[in-house]
Amino acid sequence: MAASDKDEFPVYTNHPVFGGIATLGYNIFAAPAIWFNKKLEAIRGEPQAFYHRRYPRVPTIDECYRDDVVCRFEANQQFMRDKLVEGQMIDILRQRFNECVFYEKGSGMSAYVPLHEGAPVDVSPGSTHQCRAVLEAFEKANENFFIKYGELGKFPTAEQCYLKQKHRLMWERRHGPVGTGMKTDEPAASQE
Amino acid sequence: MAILSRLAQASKVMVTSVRHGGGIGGQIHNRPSRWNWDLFKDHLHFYIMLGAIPIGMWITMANIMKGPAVLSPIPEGYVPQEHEYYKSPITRWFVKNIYNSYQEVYESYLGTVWEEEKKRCMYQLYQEARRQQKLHQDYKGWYTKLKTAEYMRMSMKSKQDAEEARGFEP
Repeated sequence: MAASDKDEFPVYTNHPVFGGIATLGYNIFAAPAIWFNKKLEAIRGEPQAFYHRRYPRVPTIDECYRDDVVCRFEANQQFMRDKLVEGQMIDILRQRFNECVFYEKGSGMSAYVPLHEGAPVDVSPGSTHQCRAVLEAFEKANENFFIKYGELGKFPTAEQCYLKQKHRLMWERRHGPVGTGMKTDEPAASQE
Repeated sequence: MAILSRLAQASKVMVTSVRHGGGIGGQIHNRPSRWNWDLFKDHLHFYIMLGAIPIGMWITMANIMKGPAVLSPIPEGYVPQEHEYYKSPITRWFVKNIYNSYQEVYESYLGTVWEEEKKRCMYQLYQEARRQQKLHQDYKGWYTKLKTAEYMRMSMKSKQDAEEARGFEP
């Protein structure tokens, strides 16, 4: 990894104190493996390529007839794949936020903050720090993921997710946007 | 005197005849069984010579000669073959020559789903027909028992004969 760009620059070998130890470790563990790999590359020649599979889009569950089980099955499979992909997207956004904080926090004891007290960088709701934008993107994506897939159980189906959306829209029609409270079942105020 | 001669005869009490055969043909020594150890060595030999060494050599040669594939973006307008979706050269060989492709398995499963749905619908129709027959009890179907008239006549005659034989009691 470290020597893939340059042969003679393994990481930390020019450190004033630990450079010697790093060089020793590199020479014992990494250099023989790199030499062997180069010999193998000379034997093998050009390596072959492999690709990640791309799945064509199929009609979603709202475009399938009720009796068309093949369409429903394919829509379900696509739904499961989409859930995995979107989960990975959330993971990437979370890693971006963690890396942003780690990069910005500085080093030394002043940058140490116990986990329960939050991040070492100011990411409270009003801050203008660049990590705040990253955190907002992650939290919005997380909230949308929960709206779509949350509380459906370990093995959700596309039908369940679709009906969850329908129920949410009906609830919003009756009670207003989610988060503004439920209306009670009172009769009309005045009838004259 | 008699006691001494009795004591001298005591060494002759536990006397058994021992046959060594003169030592001809070798001697069998009494020792514990080595059968389990020999069996273990047999198994070890078998699994190493016929299993580990040939398969290990196959894997080593595949990785030295061919090597693993490198992940690359799909070129524009190119549809990769099935074996180009895998990394190890051995897996690629299997997928190319032996295994069925993902698309084939998927589509044949879609066919199975369709057939099972047709069977399910037929069975549902069958059950609904039975339900209607049970409800109305007006169809010569499940809920009508057919009896041949000949058996009716036979049983009537045998009942009459039995009554005549034993007499009628009020």
